[in-house]
Amino acid sequence: METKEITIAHKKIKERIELYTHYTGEARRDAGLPARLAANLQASNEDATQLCDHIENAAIEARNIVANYFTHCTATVTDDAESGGCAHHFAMKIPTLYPAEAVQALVSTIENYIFRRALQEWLMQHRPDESILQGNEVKAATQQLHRLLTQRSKPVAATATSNKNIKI
Amino acid sequence: MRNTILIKRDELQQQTDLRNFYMGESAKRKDNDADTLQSSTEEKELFVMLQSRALNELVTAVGLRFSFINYSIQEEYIEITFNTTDERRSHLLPMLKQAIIDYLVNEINMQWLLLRQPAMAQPYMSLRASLYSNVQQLFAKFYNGSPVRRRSTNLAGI
Repeated sequence: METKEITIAHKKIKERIELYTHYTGEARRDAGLPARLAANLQASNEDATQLCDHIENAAIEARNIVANYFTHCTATVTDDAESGGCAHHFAMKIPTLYPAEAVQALVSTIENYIFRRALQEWLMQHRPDESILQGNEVKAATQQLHRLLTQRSKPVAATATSNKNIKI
Repeated sequence: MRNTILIKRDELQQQTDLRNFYMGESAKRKDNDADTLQSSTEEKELFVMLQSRALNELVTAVGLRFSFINYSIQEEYIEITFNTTDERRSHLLPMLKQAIIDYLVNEINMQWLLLRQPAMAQPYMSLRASLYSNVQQLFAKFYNGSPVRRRSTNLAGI
């Protein structure tokens, strides 16, 4: 089993949420939603603590999902020097037969899951109707994570097999 | 003369892993959590125990009938030795080796499935008797004089 370390910076996910909600708000306003409600939907720098809270909860949920399959998975929060915020540090033990190609897909799926989950929490507070759509996305991301975590590659013989029959 | 059969333990492990891999892959189509069926060298401790249990069971059962058989488990190989009076049947040794490997792999897989998913172990359990009788019949060829139990139809047809 090898250990894989993944770092997910909160800043990256926060930016993604802010971008998404910004464009969603603009679209809703153009579609006729009152400007006040559309502005309520948009996340910005002022909501940083709230977003951080949502992201942390989503990260812990992601860790729980992964820990179901890869039994040793820890998630710790550290301070991210570059962005000044915090970062989530996942350390997981990848099973022997796990295909190498799937590891990168696993990293991006975890990020995706955290993004969708945190976004769902945010929308549940500010505009519950939108959060139903995000709920479907979260379900899809969970399913994808499950499928990725159960992938295995074919076992290869360590050494060439030698068949010896000796008569003494 | 002394006949020796050497079976590489890695080969047993690899065959078991390969079988479990394919079984798990097809089970995953129905239920994604079938990755618990797939084994690898991580479970080496468990498989060492299962290997020695399976081998002991086989050799004991055969040894009750043919008492000249001996086995030892070493680091890399499993060694099964038995004495025969002459070289007459030595061409049967590779067949005997394959029959023993088949039995061991079947037994190990069965025990592994009984741990992980007992419902799927049924096919292996039904194969056990026939694979064992293969080994026993081949052994009987080496000791021509030993009585092998004949089927009642055979006896009645004299």
